[in-house]
Amino acid sequence: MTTGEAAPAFREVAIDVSALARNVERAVAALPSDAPRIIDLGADAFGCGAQRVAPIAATHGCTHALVPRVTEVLALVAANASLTVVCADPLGDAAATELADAGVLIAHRSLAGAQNALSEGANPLAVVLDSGRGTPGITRGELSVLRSAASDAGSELLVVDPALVLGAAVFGLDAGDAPSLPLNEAEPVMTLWAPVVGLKSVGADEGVSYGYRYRTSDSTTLALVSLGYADGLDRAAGNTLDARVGNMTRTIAGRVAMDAFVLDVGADASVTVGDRVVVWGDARTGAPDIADAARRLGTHSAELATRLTARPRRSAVGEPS
Amino acid sequence: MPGLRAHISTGALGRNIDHLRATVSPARLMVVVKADAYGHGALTVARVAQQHGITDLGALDLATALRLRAAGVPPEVRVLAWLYAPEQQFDEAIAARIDLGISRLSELERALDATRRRRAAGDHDAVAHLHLKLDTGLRRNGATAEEWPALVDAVARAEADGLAVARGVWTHIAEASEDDDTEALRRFERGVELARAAGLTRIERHLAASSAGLRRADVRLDMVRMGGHCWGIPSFDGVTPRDIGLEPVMTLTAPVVGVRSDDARAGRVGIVQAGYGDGIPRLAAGLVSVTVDGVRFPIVDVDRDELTVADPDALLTVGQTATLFGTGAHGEQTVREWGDAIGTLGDEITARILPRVPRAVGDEFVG
Repeated sequence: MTTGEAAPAFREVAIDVSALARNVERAVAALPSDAPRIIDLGADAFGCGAQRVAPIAATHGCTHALVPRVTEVLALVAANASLTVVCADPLGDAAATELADAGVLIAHRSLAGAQNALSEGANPLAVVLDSGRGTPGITRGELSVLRSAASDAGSELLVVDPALVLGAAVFGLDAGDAPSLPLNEAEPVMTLWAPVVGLKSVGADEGVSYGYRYRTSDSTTLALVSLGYADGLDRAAGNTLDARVGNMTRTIAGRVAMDAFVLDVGADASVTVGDRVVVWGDARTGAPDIADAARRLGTHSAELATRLTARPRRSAVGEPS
Repeated sequence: MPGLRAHISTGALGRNIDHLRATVSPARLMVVVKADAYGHGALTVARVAQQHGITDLGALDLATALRLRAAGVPPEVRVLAWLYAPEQQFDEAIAARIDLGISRLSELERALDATRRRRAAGDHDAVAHLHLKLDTGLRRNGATAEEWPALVDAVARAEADGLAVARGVWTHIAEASEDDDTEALRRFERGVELARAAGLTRIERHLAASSAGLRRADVRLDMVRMGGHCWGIPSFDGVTPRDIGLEPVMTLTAPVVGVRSDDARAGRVGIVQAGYGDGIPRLAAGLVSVTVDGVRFPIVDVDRDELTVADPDALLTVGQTATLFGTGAHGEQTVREWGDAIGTLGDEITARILPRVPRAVGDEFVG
C-alpha cells in the first residue's frame, strides 16, 4: 500500500520456480532431439502465471510458447522472454495482422488455411496436428502434403504436436487424458495458502459456516482462513479437503464460503493469528497434495490450479538455477 | 466470428437494483461488489449502482474498497470493508474514507492508531467510520457474545474522544433454517441493545443478505446487503429469476470452432471455445447444455480451452454462437440452473469466470 511495503499475506499462490525449472529441464531432455521445444502457457500457464513462467522456460531450454487464445498473446509478448509465441487459436486468422506485427506465429489448423498462409509467404509455417479430440487440426496425411509444399516454397515448417508439448506435467499437474508430454517424477510447483485471520473459542455442538454443515463435537478453537470460492477453492471443498496448519492436518469445517473457510483446530492447539494454512503444496513437507485434493473433488489437479482466480496473489519462491 | 465473451447487461443490472431497492424499502440496499462483483466487474456495478441511487457498497477487502475510491466513487457513497490480513494497517483506508467492519479489539486499536496518524499528518477530518460485527452463530468473523460488551465500550470511548463514529452494527446469518435465522436475529437485537446502552446512538442495523432480505421483512432492519440478487441469481431454491422480478445480468457466449465425428462417443460432436481455463467447471459435463438458435446441445466434455457438445443430428456449423448461460429468453439455461445441476451456486460459477474471458459491457444483450 502507500507505505511502499508489500501488502501482508492474505490469499497466496506461491510458485516454486526452482522446481519448475527442474521440471522444464527434465521435460526438454525427454523430447525427441528433432522436436521443437514448445511449452503450453495457455490459461495463464495453468494458473501459475504465464509472464513469470515464460522467462524460466526460455532459460531452461524452451524455444516456443504456445497459447490457445488471441486474448492471451499480448501478456506473453509483454513478458519479453526469448520465446517465439505461437497462437493456436482457431480464430487467429481474424487477428493475423496484429499477431504478425507482434512477432507471433499463427499455428494453422486446416490444410486450406495453411496452404493459403504458405502462398502468402509464411516462413516459418506453423501448424497444429490433430489430436483426435477437440478443435480439429492437421491430419498426418495433410501434413505430408504440407511438408512438400513448404519445402517447395522454401519455408520452414513448425509442427505443433500436442503430445510433444510441455504441458500440465511441468507445473506438477495432471490434466487427465488431454494430450501433452508426459513427465516422470515431476516436482510440485504450486502452493495455495492463506493466513489464519481470526480465532474463536466455541462450545460443543456449535454449527459452523453457512447451512451449519459442520458441528463442533467438543469445546474447541475455530480458525478463520481468508480463502474462499471466489479465490478458486471449490465451494465443494468444505468437509472434504484437508488443510495444514503447523504440524496439524484438519478437514475444512463446513461450507467454503465466497471469501473464507473455517478449520476446527482443537481446544489445545497452539495456532495463532497469522499462521500459514496450506490447502495444497509440496507433499514432501506434509502439505496436502493437489492430486489427492483433486481426487476428492472428482477432477484432476490441472483444473484445481487453473481455476484459481486472479484474486490470490502469485509470488515466486525458490531460485531458478 | 466473435470469441468467448461474458456480456454484462447494465440495463438488467439497473432494473434489478431498482426492484430490490423498492422491495426492501424503507431499509436501504447495500450492493456488495466483492470478488469483482461476483465476476460482473466491481467498477461497472459501482457505476450503475450509483446511477440507481445506491449509497452503500460492500467491498469485503481493502484492495477492492480502495480500487472503488481510486475509480472515483465519491465519499458520499459509503464503501464498507470487513475482512483483513493479520496486522493489516488502516492508514490508507482512513485516508480514503472507507467504512471499516470491526470484529475484535485489535482491529479497533489499529483503526484508531491509523486515525491518529492521519490527523498528525494534517488530515484533520480523519475519523474511523465503524460497523461493529457480532457473531450470531455463523462462527466466522464477528465478536462473540462474550467479547461484545468490551468491544462496544471501547468504541463508545473512541466516539467520546472524537476518533471514531460507529455507523453500524451488523452480522452474517447462517441460513441453515428459518428458525436458526430467527435465533440469530434475536441474538443480534440483544447486541444492538447493548451497543445503544453503551452510548452508540448513531448505529444502523444490517443483518440480511440476498436470500433472507428478499423473503423476510422482519430481517431487513435498516439495511440489506445484496450481491447475487443484483445480478439476477436467485439465492434460494425453487424459483426462476423472473419469479422474483429479476433478470440475469451475465450472458456467456462462445463460438463453435469445430465439428467432428467422435468415435469414442459414437456420434458427431461440436467444439465450443470455452473451457475450464475460462472457469467452466469440468463437472458441467453430462449435467448442462449450451444453446444454439434455441436448440440445446449437452456438454459431454470440458477441456482447458474448449467444450465438446453432443450434436447427434449434425446441426452445428463452425462460426455459430453458443450461449452457455444467460437470461433464459432464447431457450438457454440460466446460471442458477447451471449451479443447481452442478451442485453449487450460480454465484460460484460467475465469480470464477476467469480474466481470460473478455467482459462486454452494454446496456442490453440481444442474443
